[in-house]
Formats: sequence, C-alpha cells, structure tokens
Amino acid sequence: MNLSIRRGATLAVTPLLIGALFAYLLSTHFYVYLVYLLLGVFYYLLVRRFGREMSFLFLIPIVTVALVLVGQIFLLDFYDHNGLNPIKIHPLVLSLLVLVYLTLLEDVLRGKFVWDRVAKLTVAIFVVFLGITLWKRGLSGVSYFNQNYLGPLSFFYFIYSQKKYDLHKLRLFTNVLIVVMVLMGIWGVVEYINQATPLQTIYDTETPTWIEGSYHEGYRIKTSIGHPLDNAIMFLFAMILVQTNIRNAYLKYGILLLFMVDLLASGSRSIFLLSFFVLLYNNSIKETGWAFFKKYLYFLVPAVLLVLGMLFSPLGQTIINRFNNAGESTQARFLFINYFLHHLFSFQMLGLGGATSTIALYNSRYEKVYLENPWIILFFEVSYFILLFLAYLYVVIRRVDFKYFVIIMLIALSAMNSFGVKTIDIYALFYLLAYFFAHRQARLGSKSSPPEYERIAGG
Amino acid sequence: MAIIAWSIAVTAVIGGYFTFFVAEARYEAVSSFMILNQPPLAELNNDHGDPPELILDLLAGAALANDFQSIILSNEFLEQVEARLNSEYEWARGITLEDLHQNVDVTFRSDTRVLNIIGYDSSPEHAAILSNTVNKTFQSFATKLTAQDLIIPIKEAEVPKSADSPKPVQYMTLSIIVGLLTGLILSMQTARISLLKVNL
Repeated sequence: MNLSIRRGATLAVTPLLIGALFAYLLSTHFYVYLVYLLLGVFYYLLVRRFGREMSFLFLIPIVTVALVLVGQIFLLDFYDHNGLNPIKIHPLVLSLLVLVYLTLLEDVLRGKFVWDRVAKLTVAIFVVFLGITLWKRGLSGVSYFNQNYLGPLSFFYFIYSQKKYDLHKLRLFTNVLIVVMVLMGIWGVVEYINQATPLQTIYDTETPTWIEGSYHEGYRIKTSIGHPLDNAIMFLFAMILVQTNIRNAYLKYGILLLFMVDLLASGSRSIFLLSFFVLLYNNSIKETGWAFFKKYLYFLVPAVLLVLGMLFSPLGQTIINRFNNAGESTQARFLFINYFLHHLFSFQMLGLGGATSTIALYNSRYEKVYLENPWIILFFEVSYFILLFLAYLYVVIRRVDFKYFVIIMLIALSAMNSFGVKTIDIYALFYLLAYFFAHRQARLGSKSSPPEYERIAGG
Repeated sequence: MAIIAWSIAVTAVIGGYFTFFVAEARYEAVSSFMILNQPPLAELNNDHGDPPELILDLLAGAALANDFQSIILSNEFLEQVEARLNSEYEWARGITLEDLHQNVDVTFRSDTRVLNIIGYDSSPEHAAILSNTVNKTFQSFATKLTAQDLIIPIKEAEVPKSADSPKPVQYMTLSIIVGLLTGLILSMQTARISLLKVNL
C-alpha cells in the first residue's frame, strides 16, 4: 500500500492526538465517553462497508442487557453510580447516536436526506418532548428522553432514510439476534429450574424492590435482561422474529416452544396470553386440506398442547399462582386509570420522568401503587402532545410489513409501565418497526418498485 | 495491522505516562450513620391503641434520608464543617466551601436509612478526617434541628490503604481499547480511500 506523506503523517499523528485527549480526559469524569464515541465512529465505518442492515447487530447488547447491569459490563453506568456517566446515557445508545448522526450528516452534505411526514414528526417529538422536559424538570429528565425517544426514533429514521435493502443480509443479521435469544432462553430455563441466577447479587444491590416483586408468587426469571417483565417482552419480540425469519417448521416451532417456556418462567400473564397470537400466526404455509394439516397443524397442535401441559407442570407454577392473585395488580391498574380519568382535562405537563417521580398513589393498605400504563404516564408527562407520538406510530406502522406483530408488541408494551420509565423495552418495538420497514423496502425493491417518499430533499 | 499496533502502542504509552507519573492519587474514606425515626413512646399507639403502620414508618425514613442528604450537601451545613476543620486542623486552614462541595459526597441505598458520608482527599488521613468530621458535625446539627436523637453512628471512617484513583488496570485497559478503536478506524478509512482510488 503506497501512502502519501500527508496520509502517513495523519496516520502517525492521529493516535497521538487521541491518546493525548484520552489522557486529558482521565483527569475528569468523562474519560469513558471517548471509548463509546470511537465505537460509534467504528460502527459508522462498518455500516458504510457492509450496509445499514448491519446496524441491527448493534441493538443486540442494548436489548439483552438490563440497564442495571450496563455499568458492570460496559463501565459507563446508566444510573451513574460509579460517577463516570454524569449524562446518564446508555453507552451503546451513545455509539448508536454517533452512527446515526454521522450518517445523517453525510446524507445532508450529499443533499439526500429524507424530509417527509415521518421526519417532521420525529423532529416535532424531539423538540416538544425535550422542550417540556427541560422546562419542567431541567436536565434531570434528559436521560429519560435520550433512552426512550432520541435513541429509538433516531435509529428508526436511520433505517427509514435508506431506500433499498438486501433481504438476505437483513435476515442474516437479525438471525444473530435469534441465536442470542435462544441462548438467553436456555439460560432462562436453567435459571428457573435452579431458582437462582449468578446475577442476583447485582440485582439485589441495584434494585432491592425487585426482591419482593419477583419472589412473592414463585420464582421469576431475570437472565441478563433484568426485570421478569422485560424478559417477557424480549422473548415475545424474539418469537416474532422467529415467525418472520425461520421457514423450517421443526426449527421454528422448537424455538417458539422454548421461548414460551421462558414466558411461563417469567410469570407474565398478559404477555404469555399474547404469545399465543404469535404462535398461531401462519404466513408461510398456503396449502389447504391435508397439506395444510401436515405443514401447519402437525406442528402447531403439539406445540399448543405442550405449552398448555407445561402450564400445569412445575414450570408453570409461578404463572398459575399469579393468575390466582390477579386481583391486586388489576386493582392497581384500575386505580391509575381512575386517576387518569379524573385528570383528563388537567393539562398537566410534568416532563419526561415526571409522572413516576411526582404522582404517588396508595391503595387502601397504604401500599404504593406502581403506575403501570405507559400511555397514561406519557399523557401526564407531555399532556396532549402525546398525540404527536401516536401520530408518529400511526404514520410509521402504515409503512411497515407485518403490522399484525407490531400491534401485538404495542399491546404487550401497554400491559406494563414499559416506556413510561427508562427501559430497554422500547428498543424491541423500534427494532421491529425498523426491521419491518427495511423488509418492506427489500420486498418492494425485489419487485422493482421504488419506495414511496413524499419528498426527498435535494433528490 | 501496523496502523492498529501503532495506535495501541501510542495510546498505551500516553495513558501509562499519565497514570503512573502525572495523575495525583485520590483517597476515599467512608463513614456511615443510620437515621432513626422512632416517634416518642407516647405517640407509639394511636387513639385506638394500634401500633403505627410499618409502611408509614419506612416511608418517613426514606423521606428523611433524602432530606438529610440535601442538608449535608447544603452551604449552611458545610459552613459549619469548614469552621470546625479550620479550628481543629492546621492543614485544613485553607479549605474553602468549594473544596468541601468537591470533596464530600453522601450516598444511601434506596429503601434504607443508612447514609454514607464519603470524604475525598489526596492524603488518606485527611480523607478519613473529612468524612468523620462531617459525620460528627451532622450528628449534633441534626439533634439541634429536630430536638431528637435521630442519628445512630454505624461506622467511623478508617484511613484508606489504597488510592481510589488513578486506577492503573482500568486506565491501561481503556487506553489499549482506545488505541485499538483508533487503529481500526484509521485502517478502515485508509482501506476505503484506497478502494475509492482504485475505482476512480
């Protein structure tokens, strides 16, 4: 390789400058950020080399590592317990944002960026949600904004702003997530059988309130995903990916069964019920009569029977106990809905993160009621500007494949506080939205049909 | 490979030089106390003779922990610490309120009433004195403020044996990672430019 003097000098001097910058940062609390900023630049170059399809890989550690474990694994603690993350941003979300905005900058410089209804709604949500949060809560809500809105919506726009995708590459990179989730599923089953996880000490230290929530009615798995409900969301999300990616019926129903066992072990009633809507979905088998039976019911019927059988085995003990005690959480949800209905026209704007820290509801036994509905939480935080987010979801869902699964994921997210608090759950939704959008583009592209953008700036 | 090796070598050398020759050692000493919010005996039972709800007791404790954390880090309280340090220790004569804000921290685990007072200093002895002085000053401050003995000392700060920072293993590992990423970025960029030239 022949290098010019200028290029050689750049290669020699750049590490010196970066090394000096890092040494300077070592005397502050910000030195770990440099690692993740560089990782973001590395992501950007990888994506330029292998295509935007590869970016789906970068979400895998975001959706499989609990926020409370982030500091233990990635050093930059999401909650800043070690004092190294004053911005309280997820380190891999920071890298993702570097990737997205370097790409956006490149698109802008080339005059190719997409400026249509989705882009306008994205910018509107960023401006309004961040504005209200800064106005009402100062900088304390910005972390919430970064994690739940800036990261996922930016990622979706990043995927959305490209016209063509390669379906083979898309499937290849999303299959990696399925493999990771299968390993996670095996971990979950082993954890449930042992009724213990090596991460328990960390979970106890970071979030002592989980102890009661997890053990009250039996063991609930945590794996590395964290809260049992987050596990449930991620296994449902993985089931959806299995349904859309895997054609081999033996493999498909085998993996689906594993994930349903994990849903049982997570003890999440509503998501377990929802998972049947994913299990029963059939897109690939078009035959009728005996062929339909052989290729679909032949696998489905034993799968359903096995799941129902396991429900009444020791594996389903926690969830059965939770079905029996459904009254308490149902009462809590009604209490919150009742509070919402009484404040429907109060026009409160508490800023992101404001609802959970300001609104305190207690039941008749003086027990604190957790605010378990993300839509109502968001309503109290941004008032009727929530309509911007609803409009955004409506516009986006219209442009993606597999709308059925997106709706299921939205219902699952509505069954808990999910994006009403800082979470990894919303990344599952936006992963699906981005993947199904790219899937649609790849499908349309293979039929030589151009994507339908309303207006492409400079294009 | 040469670019990556060069980047790692450069950042490791610079990081190592800073870690072992430039960075000032900083020690961390921790003392702790527990907040007791037991009401006076006369108030233990209400009109019906029932004991108070445990949950209310816990909630009050959690609120007190938050309040005390804010009070300890306030100017009003730290001024008292500053005065006490100035009067008792020769080395602390030049200490200012700003220094105290930088070198004192208060933490507590949620759902507990145990507060940790952390003192930081370049001297391990001074870090321990700082933490213990804040702790003792607050005990008398809280008693005057609430007219009750609410504080139970748990642990006095001991002189730390090793420095909290710099952290040689962490700093050197990160220096190597920074070098690796820089090298990867530079080599990918170089490969891209070479490809562009070939295509042109």
